[in-house]
This record gives sequence, structure tokens and C-alpha cells, in this order.
Amino acid sequence: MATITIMDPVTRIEGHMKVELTIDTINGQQQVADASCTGTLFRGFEKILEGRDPKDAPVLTQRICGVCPISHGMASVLALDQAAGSPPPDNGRLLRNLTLGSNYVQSHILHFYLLAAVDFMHGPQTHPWVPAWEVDMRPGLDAVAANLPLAIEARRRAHEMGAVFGGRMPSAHALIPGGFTGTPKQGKIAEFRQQLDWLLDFVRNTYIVDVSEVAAAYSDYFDLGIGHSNLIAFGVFEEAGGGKLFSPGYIQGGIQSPLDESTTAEITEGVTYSWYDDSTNNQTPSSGETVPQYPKGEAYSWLKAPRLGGLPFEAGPLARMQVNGDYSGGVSVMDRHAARAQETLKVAEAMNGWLDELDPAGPVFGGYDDPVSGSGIGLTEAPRGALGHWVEIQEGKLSHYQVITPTCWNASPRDDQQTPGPLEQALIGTPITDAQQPIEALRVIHSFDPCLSCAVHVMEPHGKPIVIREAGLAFR
Amino acid sequence: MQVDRRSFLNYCIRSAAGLGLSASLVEKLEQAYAQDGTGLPTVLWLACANCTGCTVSLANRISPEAPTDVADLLINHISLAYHPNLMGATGDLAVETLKSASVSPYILAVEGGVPTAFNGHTCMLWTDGGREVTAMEAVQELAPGALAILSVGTCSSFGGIPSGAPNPTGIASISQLTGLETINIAGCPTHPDWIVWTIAQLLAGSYPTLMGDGRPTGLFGGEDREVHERCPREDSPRAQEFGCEDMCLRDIGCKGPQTQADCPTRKWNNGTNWCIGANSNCIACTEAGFPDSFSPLYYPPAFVVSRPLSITKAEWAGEDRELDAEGYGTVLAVVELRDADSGAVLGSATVSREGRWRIENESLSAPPSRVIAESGTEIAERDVSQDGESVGMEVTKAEWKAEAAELRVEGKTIPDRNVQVKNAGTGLTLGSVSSDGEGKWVFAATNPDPVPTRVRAECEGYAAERDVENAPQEVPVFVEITTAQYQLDTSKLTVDGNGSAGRTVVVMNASTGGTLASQTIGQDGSWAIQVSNPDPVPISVRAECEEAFAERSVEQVGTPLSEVSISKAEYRSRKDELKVDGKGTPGSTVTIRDAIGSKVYGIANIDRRGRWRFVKKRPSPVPSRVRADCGNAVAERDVTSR
Repeated sequence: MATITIMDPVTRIEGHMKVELTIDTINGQQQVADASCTGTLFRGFEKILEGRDPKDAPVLTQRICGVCPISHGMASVLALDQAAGSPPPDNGRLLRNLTLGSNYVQSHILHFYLLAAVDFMHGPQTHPWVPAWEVDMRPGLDAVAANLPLAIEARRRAHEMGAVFGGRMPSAHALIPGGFTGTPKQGKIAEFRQQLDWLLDFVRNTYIVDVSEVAAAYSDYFDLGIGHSNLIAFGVFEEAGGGKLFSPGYIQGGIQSPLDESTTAEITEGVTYSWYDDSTNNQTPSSGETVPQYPKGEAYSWLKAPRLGGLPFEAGPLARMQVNGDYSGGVSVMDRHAARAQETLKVAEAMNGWLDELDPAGPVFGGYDDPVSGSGIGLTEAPRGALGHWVEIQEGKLSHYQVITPTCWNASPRDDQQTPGPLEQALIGTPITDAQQPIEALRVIHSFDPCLSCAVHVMEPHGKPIVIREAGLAFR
Repeated sequence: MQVDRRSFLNYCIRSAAGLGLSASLVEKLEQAYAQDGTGLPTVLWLACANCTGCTVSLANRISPEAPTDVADLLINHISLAYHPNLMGATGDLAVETLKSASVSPYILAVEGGVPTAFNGHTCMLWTDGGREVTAMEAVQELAPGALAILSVGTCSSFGGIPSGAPNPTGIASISQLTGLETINIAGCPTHPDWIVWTIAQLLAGSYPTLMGDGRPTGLFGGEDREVHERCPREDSPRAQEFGCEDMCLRDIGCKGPQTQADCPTRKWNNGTNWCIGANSNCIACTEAGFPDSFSPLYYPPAFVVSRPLSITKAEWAGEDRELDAEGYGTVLAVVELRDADSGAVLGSATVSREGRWRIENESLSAPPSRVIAESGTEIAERDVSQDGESVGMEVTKAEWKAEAAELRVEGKTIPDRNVQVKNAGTGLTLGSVSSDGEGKWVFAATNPDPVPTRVRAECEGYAAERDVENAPQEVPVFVEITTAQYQLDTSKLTVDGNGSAGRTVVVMNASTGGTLASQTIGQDGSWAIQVSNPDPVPISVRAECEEAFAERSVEQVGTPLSEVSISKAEYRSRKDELKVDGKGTPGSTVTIRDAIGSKVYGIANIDRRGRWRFVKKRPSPVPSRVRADCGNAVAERDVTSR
């Protein structure tokens, strides 16, 4: 008989999410028969931004996420640059890239060592790493586990590197529409390069090696968590001449296509299973509204369901690397980890080049004339995937603001065609040894580096929760 | 990562100057550790409506000379039993871990404010027994029993950015929600040193002195804590645009003069840099009104706002014989106001950095019928409205359409403004709407919960209310308590009762008013709450359900587990020092309060022989009677003065 396992909270992710798994034996194999993901936090940033000075948006939106604030700042300044027709000077573009790149390095290291590694090996035998599920961990990874303190130092150094030009991390107000505020003095360039050299060594000789070790011990995970295998990237890191280090594009049914403005206009957000008013279903972000409604019918998430051409897409390092021909593997749990590690090296090496391009005497800010009215789209990538800010300005104030985060793509609920979101689909079919400790499912979830707080529960199909332990009274 | 407890102390001594820890505090820490490390409290870290930025910031604390980082401080020296971003356990095991840890003394750290709209369902923290638990319930459950409550970051301290207008999810700070005192370690994000400093104080048994807004005086108080006063650029030339090195940023919106924090000297990311060091404005992220009281964050001329000249208001107040005109214009341009008929000059003003101008004239005997504003080549005109005929705010219609589940409110106010529409009964904002060019506005909301019987519209100091037509009839709300028992051996308080189905019942300590728990009353009209380790243990409890309330004294059943007594309690006025001695269950912790139970003076550890001593310098206020809580045991004694 099928059981429903609810993991709530799903820990070691950023933010609030819950995952519900229907576990059943099919063809003699116990596995995930169905899955649903629930975003359990709504703060209404889009509502808060309406009516404010547009220039405040890069500061305020950085607080959407404390792990990838610079990406939100970047999306916001790109949208405002476009609305005002005020692109940054070269130095401004490069300093934005260097600050964002620093955060990529810290975020990827944080994810592998602090959030995901404990799924594959025993962590330190102290709070908060214990208690943990008593599941079979494969041997031979002690050397990887021993690198945790070094990884904590590496993550901290990456943030210090970002503060050299950005002022402070995790959130840096140096990113402003029209450019950047910090200047590339020679001493600062040297300070930045010193941290970068140390980190390049760590990424090459520790991080990538450790991911290979885990991949070797868990090579069966190259066949798990495959999902729809539709990949999308908005592209990130503006280069001289208008290109990007990672170009935008999408892969669907094994076919790669470019992602231009007209394709982007086909992105819609479904709310059939989201706690928002149905009148806002399948709107485009540039016109879509955020009207919360709780409770609502069969809705189960505060996340909306973004779709391109009506289809769900997976975003993240694997999508960026495959779209740009930098990663040739497949789509799976271990491919996501491997692509993330290899991407860290690609970004860090590119940062070396951007440092060389800086002109210590050149301007960082090119001026910015507040538009009385206008609109702009800022498409970029957070470390965990495609991110977009859609901005409209009327009478000098923000009249409309919509954000699509990478986790909206990845952890989205079903749409009105009943198609599961990418993470939901990736979970379906995952073999489960112990329905009460579904570590295999947790490995799938963490491979996406979700940016919200999740949860997994146990219920009968279409039915009530099974009590798999004494129901407590203390926290009802 | 395994570190012996001594290294924490070494870490503190080496970092004492940087962290601002006094020599006496380091000495107290040493004493605390000398007692075999017993009584080191557990830390439970809740992530409410947060962004995880404060956790990420905390991870940035590592002292170059110390062998380990702050993770060691927290993980090896206090027990970080629950932290959703870091812990190994997931799902039910995580919830079990939290429950079992909350049986022992604990410090509650909360990151993020608490949403109260939609009955708290916009932020759900975990599922327990098939039921989703909201942040509102979790905080109300865990806060009353905590040794101390740390509001980590501006959101949990004051509401922060998610509480910015129109506060869509009804965010409350932890102290607003619980009515309890919190230590507000503000900042967006907060500085890791500030968290470490506060925890070090608590471990040493010294509850930090707080400012009126709940921030520790030692971190945010004092006359020289204003960022601008300490800023190395205080007397530098003033920048007029962005990207200028070593210049004062005041003219382009830096909030340093309005902000209290030690950023100019402490800096961020282990001294790497700080906001102003990167030529970016201080945004007042440590202040209670952030962000709304400090918006917009940037001023012209860094970003030049050239708005067309307009007159948005021209009013004659007959009684005061005063003409008042306002409008928008080009920043720093001069605007001249004239009588449209006679051409007489009525006044002039310079457009502010926010793009606004205002001209008042009290020397006229009669009002002009129409005024003209001129600035450069631009001209704007407007009729002057007189007392009585100007509409500040008027609600012309308020109707509930049950079939569409829609509330519709219409009215008239100043043109082109933002109107906030509220439930006049609860004061909670329903939403906002812009008035059109004639001042008319129409507001509609589907499924407001509860449906208001009266609404209120506000705009720039004007307000008006109106009863809602066809609003659902209100059923009188009631609540009663049938049993109230405190189980001495398990330290659990159980309160059961009945009330209006679907309403929220809030159960509190009837003496202190502190909230113990809240719950939605079931469809069968019954409710039941259980609280582990209520601190202090209530003598009687009070249940409130909107206007209805009930009280009942708590029956104590079972046998007590802990013991505590006070043998001496004296205040030495010459030394301005409170000294309390006593006995108790060895290895436990005693919390010292005033006898009412509201003011906590600190905690003391009971040694292996069952003795404890608590000394508090400069207690404020000096108590006339103190109480000591140890687990479920309580003792009281009058304070003698010498």
C-alpha cells in the first residue's frame, strides 16, 4: 500500500518549503509515485515595491534572499538601466560582475559542503549535524568530510572578496542603476586578486576533487533525479560588446534554441495550484499581478508556476553549462553537483580576466536620469538559476514589479495542464529504501539547491495523514 | 571541528577588544566554564519571514588569530539544537529534535518577523502530527519559556523590509507579537560580532542593558554611536554624484546622521570594508523605522529627478487666513506663486531634493480664486479651494457583495495620492489604491478575513470611516476555560476550554500578561493547549478571544522535580549591586527576576553542591522583592538594603 511521506521542514536549503511524497511499490520496487512541492513563505515583496522610488528597488530586492542578494541587485539594476536607457560604463559593468562572481563562489561552496554533503557522508557528531537519519552512507569519503573547516574558510573568504569593491556582504549597495559606487583603486585590485588566487586553488584542488570523490562513491546517482530534462538559462555576466559569459538559451527535447526577447515574452506564470487569485492565472510577468488568496481550493503552494511555451523548465548551473556547451553529461542528481563545481572554476577564472580589464582611472558611474515613465526587464542568473525582474515606472514611481526566481522554476507546483514542476518530476520514480527516512528523495531535492524552506510528509493516497509517530501536542 | 571548551574562552580573550567584551565579562565567562560547562543553554533558531541573510552574515565571523570560527562558538559551546539551514535532521526528526531540546533551558533566536495576516499561513515552519504550524504559533509557543529572546536582524526586531507599506502579510516583530522583552540585535543583515557579543553576555550570566527600542546599549547606545559622528568622511567635501572616493555622501541621501551603529570602526567582513567605504550610502538598516522612515534611500542630485511643474494643492484656511500651496518641480529650482487674476506675488520656494515645494502665506486678507506657479519657463495653475469645500477624505460607498465575496469601497480625496484602506475594527490594512486626477478612488478586495463591518480610508493625515453595507452579522464571541493544570513532574501546562468556532483564542499568564499560546478554536467549539516549561509558571491563566475573555487559577498536580530556595537577597547601595544567594538542584540554571516576573536580571548556574550566587551590578530598577526560577520550582524573597 502506498504511503505519503511529508518532509516538513526540509532542512539545509534556503527559505521555506515542504515536499510531500507518495511512496508505493511499482514493478517490485518501492519508489516515489508522486510528489508535490510547497513554498511555505509569502512576503509580498512585489506589493511592497509598488509606489516606491525605483532606485530603492536594488537595495530592497537584495533582501528577497540573503544567499543570493547580489543576483537580485543585478536583475534590478539591469531592469532600471534599461528603463532609463543608462547603461553602466565598462568599470561599472566589470565591478558588478566581480561582486556577483564572488557571491557565486561563496554560494556554490556553501551549497556543497554545508547543505548537500551531509546527504552523502556523516557530518560532525554534534549539534546541529546530529541527530540525523540513520541511513546507509557509503565508505571512503572521510577525506571529503575532513575538508569542512577549510570549506567554511573558503566561503568566508569569497564574501570578503566581494566586499572589497561592494562594501559589505551578503548585501552590497554598491550596485546602483547606471553603474557602481566602489572604485577600482590599484590597492583594491591587488587585495581582490589575493583572495581570488587562494580561492582558485581551493576550487581546483579541493572542491572539484571532493565532488569527483562523491560522484565515484554514488555513481548510481547519475541515473536518478532526471525529471523533465528541459533546461533554461537567462544568461549572466555581461561582457564587452554586449555578449554574456553564459549566453541565454534553452534545451527542450534535446534540441537547443536561443532565448531572445520574443521567446522571453512567452513566459507565463500559472497560479491554478498556488495561493493567488485565479484571475491572475497564466499572465506574463510584465502584466501579471500578485493577489494572495488563502485558503484556495486545491492550491498547495505560495510559489507560482512559471512556464515557457506552456512547459516547465529546470534552471541552475547545469542548465547554464549545458546551454553554453561547457558540460556534456546528462541531467541527474550527480550531473547537477558536477556542473556546479565546474562552473565555479569557470566563473573564478573569468573573474581574473575582468580584474585585468579594470581601468583604475576610469568612471564607475555613468549617470542616471530618473524616467517619469518607462519599463525594463532585468534577466540574469542567481547561483541556483535563471532570475528575472520586470519593472514598470509611472510618474517617477514603481507602478509594477514582478520577480521570477530560479526556485519558482525548479520547485514550481503543477500547472493547469496538471504537469508537475521540475523538482516534482525529478522526484517521481526515485527508488526509496525506507519510506520514513527517504534519503534518496532528499538527495534529489538538495541537488537543485532550492532557495526556500521545504517539508516532506506521510499520507494515504487522496487521504488523511498517517500518524507515523505519536502526535505531539506541544506545537500545534 | 571538535574544539574543547577552553578554546572558546581563548577566542573571547583574544577577540575581547574587537568585540568590546570587558575584562570582567571575560572573567565571568571563565567562571561559567569552570563549572564543568553545565548549564550551557541550548539555542533554538527559528527562521520566520526571513531571507537567511543574518545566518549567512553570522557565518562570516572568523577571527584570524583564533583556530576556529563562530560556528565553533555556537556549535561547540552552546548547543545549536535547531537551525533549519544547517541541521542534519529533516522533517519529523527535525521537529522531534526541537521538541526534546525545548524541555531544557534554551535561548530563542528568531530570524525574520512574524506574519499575522491570513491567520499566519503565509509562513509555515513545520508539520507536526499532520498539521502545519505557522511561525505565529511557533513563536508564541516557544518565546514565553525562553531564558532570553534574541531578535536577530531588523525584521524580527522591528519588522524590517517585509513590514514596509502596505505590509502585505501583516508582519509583527517578536516583541509586538508576544508582548515579551527581546534583545534586538538589529541590522539588515545584522553584524556577526553583534550576535557573538550578545551571546557572550548571556553565557556570562549578564543580561545586557537595553535601550528603549530593545537594542543593547553596549552595541547601539551612547552619544558617539551615530554613524555620521564616527565616520572618517564626516568633514570631507560632499559628493554630488556617485562613484566619488573619500567624499561625504550626505547630500545624496546617506542616512549616517540618523543611524546608530558602530560600522565606521567595526567595519564588515572581518574589517575588509563597509558600505560608505565603497562610496555607497548608509541606509539606516539598524533603525526601527527602516525602510519606510528612510525612503527614498537616495536623493538628487545623484539621480536628477526633473518632474514637470505642478500644483497638487492650493487651499485657503479661512479661520487662520492662511494660503497653503504644494506641488512638484525641478529639484533645487525656484518656484514663484502668483495670484492668477491680479498677478500679485504670493510667495516663492526652492524645490526640495525630493522634488517637492510648498508655499504658505499668512498675510492675505482675502483668498485669490486661482493661483499660478512659475519656474523657469514652466507654468502651472490651480483653483484655490476654501475651508469646507476641500475634501480631505470622504468615503462615499462601502459595500459587501456576498455572491462575489467582494468588498467594494469608494471615495474621494486629494488627486493622485495613495489611499490606504483599513478594517476600522481591527486597524489592519486591507490594501491601498491610487486616487485619480479628480481625487476619486475605488478599492475592491476579495475574501477579506474577517469581512469588516466598518472601513477606514487614510491619505496623508486625512481619514474617514464608513459602515459596510450588507456586512455579515457578527455573532457574539465567547470563550471559557474548563481546566487549567500544571503538571509538576513533566513541567507541562494544560489548558482546555470552549469558545466560538473558527476564532483564535490566545492564552496568557494572567499576572504578567505574557502570551503562552494561541490556537484556532475547532469546529466543535473546543480548544486545548499545552505548553512545556512555561516560565514563569502562571498562578492563573487568561484566555482571550477577541473581546471575550475568561480566567482560571492553575491547579498544580504531580510532584515537583526541581528545587530552589533563596537564602539571602540584598542590595548594597554603596556598590549599587544586587546580590542573591541560594540553593537548588545541582547542575541546573536559576533565572533571577523581579517578583512580578516581568524583568529578568540574569541567570546563575547551580554548582555541584547545590549552591548558587547571583550578582548584578547597577540593577535597574532595584527590586524590592526577587524571585528565582529553576525548572518548575520557584522561590521568592524580599530584598534587604544596606
